[in-house]
Amino acid sequence: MPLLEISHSVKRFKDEAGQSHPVIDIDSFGLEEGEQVALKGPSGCGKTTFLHLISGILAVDEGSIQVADTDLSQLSEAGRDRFRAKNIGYVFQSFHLMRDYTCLENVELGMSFGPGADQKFARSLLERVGLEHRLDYRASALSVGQQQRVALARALANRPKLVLADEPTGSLDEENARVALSLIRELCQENGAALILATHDQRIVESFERQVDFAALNKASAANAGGLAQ
Amino acid sequence: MSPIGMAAKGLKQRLVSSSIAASSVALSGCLLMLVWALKSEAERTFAAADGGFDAVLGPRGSKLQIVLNALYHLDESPGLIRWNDYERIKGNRAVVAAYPIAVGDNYLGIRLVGTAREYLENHEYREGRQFKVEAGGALFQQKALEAVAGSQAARQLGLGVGDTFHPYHGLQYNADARHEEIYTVTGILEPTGTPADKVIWIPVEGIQTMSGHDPNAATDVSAVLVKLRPGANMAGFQLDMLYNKRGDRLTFAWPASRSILQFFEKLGWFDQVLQAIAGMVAIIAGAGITAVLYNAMNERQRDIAVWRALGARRRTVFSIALLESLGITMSGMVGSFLLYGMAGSGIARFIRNEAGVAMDIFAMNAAFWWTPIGLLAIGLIAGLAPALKAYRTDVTKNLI
Repeated sequence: MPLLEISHSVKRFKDEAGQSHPVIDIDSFGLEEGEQVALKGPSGCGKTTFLHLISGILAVDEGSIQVADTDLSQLSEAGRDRFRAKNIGYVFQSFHLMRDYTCLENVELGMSFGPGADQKFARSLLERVGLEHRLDYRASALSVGQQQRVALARALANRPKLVLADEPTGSLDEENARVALSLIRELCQENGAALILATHDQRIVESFERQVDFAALNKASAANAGGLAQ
Repeated sequence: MSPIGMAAKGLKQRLVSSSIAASSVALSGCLLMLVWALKSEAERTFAAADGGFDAVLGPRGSKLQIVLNALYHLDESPGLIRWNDYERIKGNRAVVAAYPIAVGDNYLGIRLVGTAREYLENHEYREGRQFKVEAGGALFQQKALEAVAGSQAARQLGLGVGDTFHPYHGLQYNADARHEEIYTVTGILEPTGTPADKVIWIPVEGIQTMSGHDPNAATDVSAVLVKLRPGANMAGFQLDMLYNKRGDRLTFAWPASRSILQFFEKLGWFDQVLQAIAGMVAIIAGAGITAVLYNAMNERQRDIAVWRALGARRRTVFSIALLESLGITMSGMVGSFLLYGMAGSGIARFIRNEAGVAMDIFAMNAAFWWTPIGLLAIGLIAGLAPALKAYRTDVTKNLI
């Protein structure tokens, strides 16, 4: 049973003149439970919008996106929020930690809107990413690599079925990026979460068994590129 | 982490601006309660501090001035009345007790009040409460150069039993206006919470015959304190008619407390001005909360977007912003009670010193629940714009 099924999904945005243009136009895409996939593509090809659609932050204009047997296109915005809080983990390129929150509080935030606070699990996640000695440190006092690890722990705090990672190593140096990547993959595997990792870094893409060229998958990006070319 | 915890975190992050906004709420709440609660308590205690008298008979003039002078020991005496006026009203069948009051001298600025010993001996200044002299003291003997100090006067002047003093002419202290007589303090009154505490009592003859006073007024008094027989309301009307309508030489201030209430009513416009100022301060405080939180929501667009990306619903971020507003308001509310306690105590102490009236600043008053309810309403309204700002935060634009 696939965890994610996307069929004939279109998302349009209006330009400054009020004209509606498709930015996402995907015929079909799927992901099995626990599967890990790298989405490769240049900046601006719609990867982030695609992740926003899968997480329910945005709604499709046409088609359907089914995650864990739930058709997000049939849910209200509040329904998608509830769904995301319980089923989706998110890792952002610039981590987006709460700077004045401690590491523990940041991880607890990841479960606050979904399953509810579970400090024991939050601690265990931070221990797993090697930050057991930084539980009460403010996020602003951490190094970039440590921030990335807190962000990863937060993404797994709600015990998600699917983790979406948007350029998660984009802010790290090569060594930290390599460590972070392997940690993301290990943790998703340990927690039974599938992973979609969007990146433009070819070396990262090559470390995945399944690689998807997003520019090819998204018909709108090809059309937009053509438009730009003209 | 609960929305309340997140709101508390947000306030902690902006401790300075949140504290300033809370302080303005505290100030407005304090002002509202001072204007509202303290004023009604002042009215109540002043009206109740009639010393157990129903009326005051004085020379022709303002009832308020007569009452203030004879009962509250404030203001100047408007003139003198004859001794037989005192005896006549004392002999009236509707009058259960009448005591002469003579003023015109002081000791170091503390008023000397001449009266009959029976006043301090027999009169109930409040139901079931009589004046008591502290242990080791005694009341003055009529016609003797003896004095009994009110508790507050004794404390202020450091007077004790056996101390002696020269009276000074007039109600204000003037070192050059010293009388030759030497009075001996025979007793100190226990505190009563009435204006009797702030004066020195001497025999009425002392004031009348003080050296330097007009010998022609040697039997005159400033006023007569009158207690009517219980249920003698008609007698009050009759005496009112007799002295105020038909006579033209004396004034019968009855009921005594009405003059004080009328005085407060005359100050009603001032009261309204103060209420308007307090209301404006409350509105400014509300605007302050809006400004602080609205700016904060502007600065926290990214944080709100992250919350939303983590699954927070719009109404959740709306409620967090509203909770922050309520947090500021409630801190301000606590502050307003603290400020009220401090300011109210100061004002009550001042009134006690000046008028001898003891006020209970925390006596039950509707202001103590309506003010917090009003402040909460202001807090809620003030939080609406920032909360809407949070509600409308565009996740995709702020997650870059």
